[in-house]
Amino acid sequence: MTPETIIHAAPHGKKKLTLEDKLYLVKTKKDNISHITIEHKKCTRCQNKVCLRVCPANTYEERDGKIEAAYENCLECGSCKVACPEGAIKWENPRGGFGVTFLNG
Amino acid sequence: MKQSDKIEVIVVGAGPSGLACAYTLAKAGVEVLVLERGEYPGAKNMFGGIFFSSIMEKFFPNFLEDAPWERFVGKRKFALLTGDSEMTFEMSPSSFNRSPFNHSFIARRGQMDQWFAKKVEEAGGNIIPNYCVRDFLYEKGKVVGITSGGDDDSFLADCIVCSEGANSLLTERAGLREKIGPEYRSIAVKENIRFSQSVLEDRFGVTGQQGAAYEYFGSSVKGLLGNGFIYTNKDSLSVGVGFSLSDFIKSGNKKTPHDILEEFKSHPSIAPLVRGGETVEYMAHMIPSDGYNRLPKFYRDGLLITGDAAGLLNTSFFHEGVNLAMQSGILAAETIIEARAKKNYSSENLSKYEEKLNASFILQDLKNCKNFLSFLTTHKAIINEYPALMNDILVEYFTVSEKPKTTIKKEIFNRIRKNVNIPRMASDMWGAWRNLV
Ligand SMILES: Cc1cc2nc3c(=O)[nH]c(=O)nc-3n(C[C@H](O)[C@H](O)[C@H](O)COP(=O)(O)OP(=O)(O)OC[C@H]3O[C@@H](n4cnc5c(N)ncnc54)[C@H](O)[C@@H]3O)c2cc1C
Repeated sequence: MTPETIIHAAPHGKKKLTLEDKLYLVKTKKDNISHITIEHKKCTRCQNKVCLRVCPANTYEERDGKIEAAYENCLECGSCKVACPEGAIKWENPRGGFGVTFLNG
Repeated sequence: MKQSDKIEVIVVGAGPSGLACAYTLAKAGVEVLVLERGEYPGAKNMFGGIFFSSIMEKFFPNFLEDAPWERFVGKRKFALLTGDSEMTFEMSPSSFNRSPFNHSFIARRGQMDQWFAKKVEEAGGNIIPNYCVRDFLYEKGKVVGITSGGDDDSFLADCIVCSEGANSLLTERAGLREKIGPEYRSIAVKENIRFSQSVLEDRFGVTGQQGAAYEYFGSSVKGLLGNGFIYTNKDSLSVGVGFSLSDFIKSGNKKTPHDILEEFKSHPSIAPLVRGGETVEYMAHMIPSDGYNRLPKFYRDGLLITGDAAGLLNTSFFHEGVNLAMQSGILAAETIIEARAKKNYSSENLSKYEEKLNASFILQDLKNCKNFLSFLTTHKAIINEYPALMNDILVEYFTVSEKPKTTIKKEIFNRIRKNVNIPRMASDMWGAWRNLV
């Protein structure tokens, strides 16, 4: 019998979760006002649009040349504000009691 | 906006540093109110995580029996990953496997922070959850209160402690530091992956309350400055990656943090460990990487900052955060207690806090690893090339063949000569010893 390589064995038939699936698992109390605002004027100077890839929740999207934030996906790490080279992202904590609750942090 | 009566001390944030500060104050009979933006203490928090408990045990000698930890760290593993291989150093000393378990306990923050918060309340401190502090209130340049900016009451206090953690919005706003750019923070993402307890214990070779902490260096995160980790909870794994934001941006990496986590999970050494589990949660958080040379200012009239907000995290291999955070909270409380005796919370009196930080293990440890991140940034070979070379050499050495061993040795020597600038490697190794250990 040839030994099989364990390494590349398929994960036991379980469907691999996408990012969207995982965001769905996060307990969130959605506020009706966004805690993220974008100064679009500043974005026009921006070369690399790092917000589009730094966000662990894929909150940012470019639509018709404009950056938009789906704030309800936000995991509240704050990396986008820190990473934005133009200071175009105004990120505030959601109001008290709103936003994510981590159960296994 | 209503204003309530004046309180002696307000603490912003119910993480380990804010709670340690509040506990010390409450025990000394100081009136203290903790404001927490989450629906309960710990609700917004995420770490690896090993809770280093030595300071907590001084507060609560029955920590071991009473606290909601998951498993003690009986087994530690440090691995170097290359593209698809692994080299590992693993230890399970008997001293880690008996009380006091090296003061290292795998935990979840929601459980641990709530437990600690209850102790603060029992000691006489007040905690209000669901309250997000939006800004400080000032009077003639002195911080005199806080506001939610909304319908909630604002509060006035003799002194305020800002323990808001790594996303340090208020600290920045109060002018205690320059704008936080990507060179000051790392990002981490983590999944909680559930297993049956017996599968988990068999897979990690642990029994009873014993647990394992695995850290993955080398190219575990696509050659970025950072690492991957796996910690065993009771019946789940904490699996995550963290890396420097500036390194991520500079690398021009097209991957997202989630992609990098997925690639870590599918590395041939990691995939068998996480296989078959059920992902029940996905989380993200920042980690300070200020380091000793770029720390913020720790105080101003009426205000002190502690823990991650003050950049007080050991940025080296040790990943110690919670114990430094707790100690800084205690030192802030002691400073306040002294200032209270003089009824004077001016920055001159509060400057004692910095003296205390300097004299404690906090700033001594930070000083010891002050070049850790900058050294690795400029010596990336240590993360990528050298581990790969070492792997190739070991593979060559141990590969079974009919070649005489003397020939193999000669081939290895030639390979090193051809691929490595020996003086540079010697200098890198000497630098690594001085700056990393
Ligand atoms: C992925 C990861 C792994 C880690 N692993 C480890 C480890 O294994 N061991 C270790 O010791 N450390 C680890 N750390 C570091 C450790 O988590 C931190 O150093 C520690 O939590 C800092 O404590 P803190 O009290 O300063 O801040 P935090 O624990 O972040 O607490 C801050 C609190 O303030 C609240 N808050 C923030 N802003 C406001 C506001 N405006 N109004 C009201 N409330 C507010 C937050 O909700 C939070 O509860 C890790 C961190 C991460 C991200």
